[in-house]
Amino acid sequence: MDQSVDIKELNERIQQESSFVDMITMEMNKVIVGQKHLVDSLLIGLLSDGHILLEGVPGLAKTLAINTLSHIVDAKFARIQFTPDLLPADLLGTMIYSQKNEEFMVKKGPIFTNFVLADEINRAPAKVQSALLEAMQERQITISDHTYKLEEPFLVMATQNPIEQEGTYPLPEAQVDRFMLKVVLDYPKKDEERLIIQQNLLKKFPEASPILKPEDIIRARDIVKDVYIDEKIQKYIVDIVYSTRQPAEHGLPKYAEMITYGASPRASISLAQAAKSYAFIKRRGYVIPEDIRAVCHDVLRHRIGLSYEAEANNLTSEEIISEILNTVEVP
Amino acid sequence: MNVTRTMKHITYVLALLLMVASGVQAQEIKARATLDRDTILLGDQIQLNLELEQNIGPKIQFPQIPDSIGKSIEVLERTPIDTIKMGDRRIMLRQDFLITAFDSGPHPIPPVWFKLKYDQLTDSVHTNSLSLFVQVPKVDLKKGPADIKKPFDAPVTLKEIAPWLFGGILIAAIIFLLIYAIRRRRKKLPLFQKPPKPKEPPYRVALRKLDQIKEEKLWQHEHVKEYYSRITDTLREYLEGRYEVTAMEKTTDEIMAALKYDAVKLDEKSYKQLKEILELSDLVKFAKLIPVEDDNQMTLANAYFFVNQTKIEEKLPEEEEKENDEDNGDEEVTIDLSDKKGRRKS
Repeated sequence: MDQSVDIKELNERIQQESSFVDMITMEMNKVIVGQKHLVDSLLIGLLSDGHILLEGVPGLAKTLAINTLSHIVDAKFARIQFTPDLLPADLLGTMIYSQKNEEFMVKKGPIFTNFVLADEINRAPAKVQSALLEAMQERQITISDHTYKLEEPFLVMATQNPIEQEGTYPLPEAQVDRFMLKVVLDYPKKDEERLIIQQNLLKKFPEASPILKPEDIIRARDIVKDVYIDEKIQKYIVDIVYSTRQPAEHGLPKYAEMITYGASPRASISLAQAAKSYAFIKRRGYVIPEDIRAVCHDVLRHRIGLSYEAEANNLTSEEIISEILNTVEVP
Repeated sequence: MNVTRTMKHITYVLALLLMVASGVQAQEIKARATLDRDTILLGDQIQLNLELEQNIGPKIQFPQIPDSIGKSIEVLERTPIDTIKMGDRRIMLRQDFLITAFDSGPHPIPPVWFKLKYDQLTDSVHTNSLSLFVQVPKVDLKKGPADIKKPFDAPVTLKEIAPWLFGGILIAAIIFLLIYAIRRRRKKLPLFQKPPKPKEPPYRVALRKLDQIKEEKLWQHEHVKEYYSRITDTLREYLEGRYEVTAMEKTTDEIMAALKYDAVKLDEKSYKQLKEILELSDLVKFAKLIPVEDDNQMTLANAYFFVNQTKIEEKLPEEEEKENDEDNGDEEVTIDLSDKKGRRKS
C-alpha cells in the first residue's frame, strides 16, 4: 500500500470529483423510483470497472435502470436479448464477404460498445455465455486473425430471472465469478409503488439527461484507485473471505458442511475495489469497515457454493454472509 | 461298734456338706423359661425364651429342643444361643423359639433341663414349667356362614425393598451419568472439569488494560495507530461485557446504533464521548490521521471517564467472602451478666 498518499489532499480531490455522484443519483431518481441499492450498486460497478449481474423477478426496472445509466453517462449502449438460438457471432461479430471490395471484412457485433445490457443471460446457451464472459475478462475480442480492444469504459450488466428456470442455462460457477457484484432486487415499498403508478400514468415518461462523458468515468476510476485502504481493512477482507472457505476455523463450525466452496481470491480483490468505490461515493478518501460490510453481500453472494444439506435446510448464501459478518472481528 | 458309729457320723457330715455345696450352686445358677403370653388363638405364633444365668466357670450343655414340645406344640424357628455379659463374672445364655399350636386346650411345657459340668462333678438345673392355653375362635352360629377372610397384608419391611430401592438408585445414577457424558461429548468438553473461575467485572479488565496502555507510552514512542487500536479494542470488550453488545464484530456506526436502545440507557454525555473516541480512532486506524498530543491524552482520559461513568460495581466472590469475614470480626460482642450467657449483637 502506498504510504505516501496524503489523505487530506485525496479527500479534497474526492470532494471535487465526486460531485457527479449526486447528479447521477438525481437523474436516476427521475426515472427509477426507489431501488436506491440498485443505483448505488450500478455506480460501484461503474467506478470499480466491474461487471454486474442483476437478479430479480420481472418488472423491477432492471433493464430500465441500466438503460438510464448509459443514457446519463452519454456512452454507447447496446442491449442484447439472450435467447436459446443466439450464437457467439451474433454477440461478437463475424467476417463477411464484401463484394464491392472483394474481400472479407469484419462485422463487429453489438458487444463493441461501452455499456452492454445482457438481458436474461441465462436463456442463451453456454457457448454464447462463454463468449461474453471471455470478453468481460479479457476486454478484447478476437475475430478471425484480428484482436480488437474493447472501448473504455466497458461495463456488462446482465440480468437473470430467478423464476421460470425451464429452458435456461444457469451460469457456471467459474463464469458467475467474473461478475464483480450480484445485486438481488426486491419489490418496491408501497409508497414507492404508488409513485411508480403515478409516474407511468403521465403523458410523457420522464427521461434522464446526459450529464457525464465516458472520460469523466475513467478519471473518477483513477481517483478511486487512490482511495486508501489500510492493512487492517485488508486483513478484515481476508478474514471474511477465509471464513467462507474454512468456516469451522473461523468460529462457524455449523457451516462446515453447508459450504462446498468458498469465495475466490477474485472475491477478495472485488471486495477491496467495491469498498473503495463505496468510500468514493460516500466522499471519503479511505476505506472503513462500514464500506466492506456495505458491499459484502453483493460481492460474495454468488461466490459461495451451497451444499445439498444447506439447500435442504433452506439456508441461503445471504444468511451465511450475514453470520460471517457477525462473527469476524471488525478492526 | 465304735468304729461303725464313727463311720456313720463321717458319712452324715459328708452328705450334709454335699447338700450345702449343691445349695450354693443352685443359688448361683438361675434357669428360666418365659412365654410372650400364655393364651393364644389356634395357629397363633409366640416366643418361648430360655435363659440361663450363671457365673463363669462350669460348662453348660444347652438342651436340644426338638421340633415339637409335647404332642401339640410345634417349634417353627429358633435363634442361635446368645451369650450376654451380666457383670465381671456373670453371664446369661439365651435362646428364643418361635412356637405355635394347632390343638385347642391347655398344653403344658415341661421344665427344660440344663446340664452343668464342673471339673469332676456334673450337675443339672431346670427351668420352671409353663402352660400354654390354645383357644378356638368363637363362632357365632346365629350369624350363619361367613366369607373366607382374605390373607393379611404383611407390612413391607426395609429389608424387602432395599434391593429394589438401591437397584433403582443405581440405574438412575448410571442413566444420568450416561446422559451427562453424551452431552459433554457433544459439546466437546471434558467429562469432569473444575468449575470456571468467577468472571472479573468488565470495568476492572478495562481499567487494567487502560493502565497498561498508559504505562507503555505508545503514542510517545510513535505507535499512535496501535495506541488507538488498543484503546478502542479495550472499550469494545468493555461494552461487550457491560452491555452485552457484540461490539468486537460491529463497526463504529453499528455500535453507536446498538447503544441507542432503551435497554442500554447510556447517558447523553457518555454516548457522545464514546462516539468521539471511536470516530477519532477510526480516522487514526484507517485514514492515517496523526492527532495532536492533546487528542492522544484526551482520548485515554475520556476512555477512563467513560468506563468509570458507566461501570457497575461488582465484587468477586472471594472479596465478598473476605468482606463478610471482616464484618463478622468487627461484630460487637456483649456479655449479659444477668443470665451469665454471652449474647452476640450485630
